[in-house]
Amino acid sequence: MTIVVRNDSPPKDDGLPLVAALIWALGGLCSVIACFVMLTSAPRGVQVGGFPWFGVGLHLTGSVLAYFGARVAKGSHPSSAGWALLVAFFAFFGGPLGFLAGVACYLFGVGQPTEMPLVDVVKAEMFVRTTAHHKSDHAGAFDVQLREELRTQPIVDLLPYADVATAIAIINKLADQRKRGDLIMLRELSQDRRPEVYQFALSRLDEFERDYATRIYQLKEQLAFRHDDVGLRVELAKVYYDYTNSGLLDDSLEDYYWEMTLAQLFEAMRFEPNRQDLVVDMARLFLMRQMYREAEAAVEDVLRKEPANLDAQLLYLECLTERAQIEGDPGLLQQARKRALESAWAVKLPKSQEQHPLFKVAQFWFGRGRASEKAAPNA
Amino acid sequence: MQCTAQLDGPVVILHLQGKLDASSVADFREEAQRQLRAGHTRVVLDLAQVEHVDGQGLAGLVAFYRRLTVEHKGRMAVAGLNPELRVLFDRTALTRVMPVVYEWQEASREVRS
Repeated sequence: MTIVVRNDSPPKDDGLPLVAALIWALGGLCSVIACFVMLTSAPRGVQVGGFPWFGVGLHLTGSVLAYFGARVAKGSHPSSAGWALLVAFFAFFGGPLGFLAGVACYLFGVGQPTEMPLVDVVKAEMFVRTTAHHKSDHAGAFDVQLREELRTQPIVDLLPYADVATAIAIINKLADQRKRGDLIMLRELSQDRRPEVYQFALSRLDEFERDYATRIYQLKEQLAFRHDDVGLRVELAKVYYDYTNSGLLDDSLEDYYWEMTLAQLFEAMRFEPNRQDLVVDMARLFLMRQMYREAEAAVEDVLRKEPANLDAQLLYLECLTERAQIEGDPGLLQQARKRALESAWAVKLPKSQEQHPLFKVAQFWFGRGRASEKAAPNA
Repeated sequence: MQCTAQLDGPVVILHLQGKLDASSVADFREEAQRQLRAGHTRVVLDLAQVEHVDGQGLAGLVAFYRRLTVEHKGRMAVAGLNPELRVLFDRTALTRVMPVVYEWQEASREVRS
């Protein structure tokens, strides 16, 4: 994409030329006199003065002067004819009031920006560039895969004895898998003593960092213009959440981005207080940072309002099972099991497994045993 | 935003004043961290003089709450919410998550017990 700087003369918004003002004043006078002449002409039934040709002429003159006033004011700008026609249209159909309205439209309208400022163009270009598919640009020599005989071994076991080629192949594999544990291992590889290994690991890590930074930048830029867009806020919270969980960050930075995620969720909740999925997301964030009881409290609040919210049900079970492991309390596991059985109704069956509506009606009228006989007599 | 600390026995009351938003949450974070370093693990946040809290401010409160309760095994309560803040806390379900009471004296008793 290239930026083309146009050489068009800028719109004349540095004051109204005196000539244009004089023409408009004359036109306005004509329009007022025309109005006066036509309104004071003889009523319809009286054949005294005839048709007020003089008034009509003045009215037309006023409209023409309105047109020329705008042409003089705008000069040679491409929008000159358009503005002139607009003002003349107002003056012709609105009389003196229309004349005033047309001139007012012109005076208020010409100051408004009609083109994108250059800064915005540059920002837009950055947006286009950053959203374009990024192709990895490392040299072909680094594009190696793990040897066949090593593929069955866990990477953790390979790492201490890996030569440079194997280490690079491991880096590629970890970067392709891109799970949290893989990226943590990749960060460990970036501490390797061998320059080929740590530099390549750093370059692969940098790709991921840049990807997240770009997405965060784009969403923040959009939010600057659409401050109350809940969808964007949730999207940004999701990117922050992914980044926090990516394994790319140190503990302190994870805390920071966790807080950022929460901040975006809270902002979204401020604008849309009835969205319970946001509360569930908040509870998930609490769970992520070992705030088990708080997560349970938030999910219980959701379930009070939406008992069939499956995400909330599952998260509640997750809270109970994790707390059972942390606190070493088997009673919590039993509670989770009981809860799962009690809440099974919230799980929607696939369409293919749903009972036919007629079966339900039959079940209602004839009872379970007879209904099954009636609905499937040949089964 | 101003943040003043007052000791009430083993409980430290943090009286916040002004706006708690993206521009001022760092001050709050710093003061809260100072209290944690001083070994105060029973904290009451008095928000009676707080005019406005945005998402960043709320996140700062929750992050401090987490640090206090999860990492330092402490206790915290929030007091003195004006009607606007009360609505905000209700909307974000924080009234369920952390103890919220009317006055800091009551909160202090609750945190102490």
